[in-house]
Amino acid sequence: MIADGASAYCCVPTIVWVKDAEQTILIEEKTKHSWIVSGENAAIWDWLTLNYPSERIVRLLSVLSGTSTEEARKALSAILQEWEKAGIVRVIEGNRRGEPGDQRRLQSGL
Amino acid sequence: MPRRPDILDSIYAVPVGYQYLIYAPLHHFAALTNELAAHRIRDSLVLPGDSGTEGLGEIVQILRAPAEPTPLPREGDLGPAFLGLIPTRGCNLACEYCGFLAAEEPNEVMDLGLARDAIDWYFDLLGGGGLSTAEVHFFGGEPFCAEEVMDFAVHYARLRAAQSGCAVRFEVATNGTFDEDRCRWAADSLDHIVLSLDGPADIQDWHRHRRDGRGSYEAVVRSARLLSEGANELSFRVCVTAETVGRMPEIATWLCQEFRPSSVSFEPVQPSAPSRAAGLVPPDPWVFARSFFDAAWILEAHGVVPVYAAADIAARRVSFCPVSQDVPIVSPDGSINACYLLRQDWEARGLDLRLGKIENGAVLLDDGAVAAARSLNVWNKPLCARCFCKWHCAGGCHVNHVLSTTPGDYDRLCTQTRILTLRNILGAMGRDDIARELVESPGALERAVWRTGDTIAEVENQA
Amino acid sequence: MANLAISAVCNQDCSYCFTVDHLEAGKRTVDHTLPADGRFLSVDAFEARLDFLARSDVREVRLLGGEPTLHPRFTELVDRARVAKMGVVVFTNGLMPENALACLEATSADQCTVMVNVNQPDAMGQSSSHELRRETIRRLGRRALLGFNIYRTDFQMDFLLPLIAETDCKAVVRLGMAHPCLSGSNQYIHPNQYRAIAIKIVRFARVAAKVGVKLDFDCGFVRCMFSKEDFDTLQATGANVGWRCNPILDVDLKGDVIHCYPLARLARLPLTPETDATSLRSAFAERTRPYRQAGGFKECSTCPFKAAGECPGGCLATTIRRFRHTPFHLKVAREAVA
Repeated sequence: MIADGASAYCCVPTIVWVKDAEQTILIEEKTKHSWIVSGENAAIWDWLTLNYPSERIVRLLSVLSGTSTEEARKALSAILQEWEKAGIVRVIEGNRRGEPGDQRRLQSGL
Repeated sequence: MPRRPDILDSIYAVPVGYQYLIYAPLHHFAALTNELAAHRIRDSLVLPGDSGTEGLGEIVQILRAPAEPTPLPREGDLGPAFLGLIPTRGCNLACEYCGFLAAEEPNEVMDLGLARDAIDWYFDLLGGGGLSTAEVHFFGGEPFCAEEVMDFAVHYARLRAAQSGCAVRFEVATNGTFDEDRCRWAADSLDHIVLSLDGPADIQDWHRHRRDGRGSYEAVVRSARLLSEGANELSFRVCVTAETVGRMPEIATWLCQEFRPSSVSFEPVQPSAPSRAAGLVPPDPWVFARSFFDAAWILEAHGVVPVYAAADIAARRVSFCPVSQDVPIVSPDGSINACYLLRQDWEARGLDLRLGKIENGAVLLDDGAVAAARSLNVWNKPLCARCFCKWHCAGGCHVNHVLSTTPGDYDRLCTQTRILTLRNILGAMGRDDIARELVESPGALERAVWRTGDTIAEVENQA
Repeated sequence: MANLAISAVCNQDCSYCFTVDHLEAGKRTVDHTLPADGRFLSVDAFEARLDFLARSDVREVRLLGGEPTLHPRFTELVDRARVAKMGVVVFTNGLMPENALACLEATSADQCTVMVNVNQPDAMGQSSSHELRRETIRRLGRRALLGFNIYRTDFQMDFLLPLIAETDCKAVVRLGMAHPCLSGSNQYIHPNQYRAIAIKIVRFARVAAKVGVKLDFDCGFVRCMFSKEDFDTLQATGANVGWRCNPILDVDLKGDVIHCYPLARLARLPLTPETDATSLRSAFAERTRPYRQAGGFKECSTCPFKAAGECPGGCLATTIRRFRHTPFHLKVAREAVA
């Protein structure tokens, strides 16, 4: 669903990832769907996993891509929407925070 | 310019107990002989018609064969071995011996645009050389005190590497006091992490404490454990003083049992104003060397490489460090220098290691400065001319190691380098037994170290 | 190939044991006379396993545990396997009851292989066990094949050569690398240590070849841990070198099939009268396929050896342990999409 205003995204709880030398691999543990992320999108994912706020990511992205802050903000928004459709991230209803807790390794079964 | 090299200059004969080590690094050759054989080999090499006598013919043949080219200073276009970035000179620790505490503008952080310009310039330089792997090394202060620069530089370098069709590797020298999230990021994003850890808590918290005096041990050990589980290569740097030198074997055992390093480097403390004020002095070189032997055997039994950088016999070089190897090290103020030490330290030695600067997106490089940096090499160090460590140590640090010009006038650093290079050569020959005998015999060690020249032509003079 | 667990009991406690995620703590005991109360496979269940192997066209019964020879009816299980005209392979630590040893001694060498896992003497305080194990191997003779698991970097294997000579067992050492269970709670070799142990392996291979002993590589080794020169040396010594990681198919006491013990927590499939080994392997391969894009090293996903299918990127458990979940949370102004 697409709406105006601010939205909060969180990582889908069943998404696990690994950063390789030239790409980042994401896997959805239940369906086993996978995605390869590289380039600027890999950078965005990296900064998301460091829990950077959006404005910081936008600023870094604008320098990385050599674009304006506004263009970087649009690029960030666009990739988040793409990942939402793919089931990698999801919108949190209201202002409820996403799942807290420590990093966890893949341990669940099917 | 160096004179045309005579290959005999790079064939050495060093007394090892009652034997001689015939060592020719450019021929990748080493052998142990008795004194008579050493003389016969010398004569065969010096006299053109002599093909070697009494079973030494094969050795003479090997030593007469063409060797690997003698290392020479760089010429031509800049061909950097790696790009150095100093994200900040700031640091969250106040180590007792730190030579960077007096840095000007310690709080200055590299602008992201500057990092981008430096990386662009580096990849443009590489593009002409067709290199398959680029390298970016981060120095400080503490690089993670400017974590955003790290976050940006890693990804930008990857983008440029992908565009250039090459791989890129990252290395960082760090104090390891970051939090767990950052530690995992480092393990994922960087290829080689050099972590400073001087020993168990009593040593680490004494040497390397925070600015408010609190120890750093707990944080660093936590990081070391996480990094041991990560996809990165982990190396430890252990600073050794006269007080801690006897504990090197204990430290080696502890590091192997608790963590997963690929290498451990033991470095005697570099005298500085802070270290002198703290009463930390370098260890006696003979004691250091013997302790290193014991620690090294422990490390090697665990498959961990013991490192004393000046005694790296795999290296054949004209300079021990990035200086004269065309490495540009970019500081937060945009200056491009050949050395990552503080400018005031070079200047105290009468050296100017600036290469240029990056300003408003443009790189301004001083060709004269590059040539001057390239001239800082072992060819211009008379003391090294006839030393068997010449092509490995190359005279050591240009800033911190001031060499005598009197042949054989070896200082503390030379002494331990000569001993440890001998050890490494004997180890590579599979003769740890000889190395063990040597370390137990002070007389034999002294005989090996105190020589005015090691070239094979000088054997008779020393016998 | 499929391994049948017949015992959840072991009389050793090796720090690298890869069953830690699977066998519950406290169920292990040294008293092998205790009744089969879920810690040993029933005979009926064993017969069902034999049926599974038969319809899978597998002609070999591979028994493991825990320590399989501690099963109170071990000799009967071996007899039933022989009646079904199956070869028998036993994975043991060599510290077995007399009746189990006698049973294996009575089986001809071409019908029975006993893989004896040997730890370094003095490691884990096992000096006296080493003598007992030596006697077992001597009695088994050519049925015995020594296995050695590398779980620490300061390992030494030279002691295996006189042991082989003295006992006249097979002149082969099956070399294993201790891999992590998904929990990481066993002692294991990390990819960062592979190169260090590779150097020692090659040195041992040269020494072993001089006395006619060859190496046989178990799963999880990777191509890049050996230089080209190392690889050529290994081949010259006749080593059976391989870069393998496939679904073993370990059938546990409850009748569940797991990919392998290190991945016991990842997935399990029921053993039914309809399943066979091929369908199970396919199912596991499909479930683990996404993780195979990565490997034990960061470079695996773009490695030419991997791309060519020559190396799978090492142990899958090692690979999967690299993955993690990060619960990030981000507020962002949302653009309306036209």
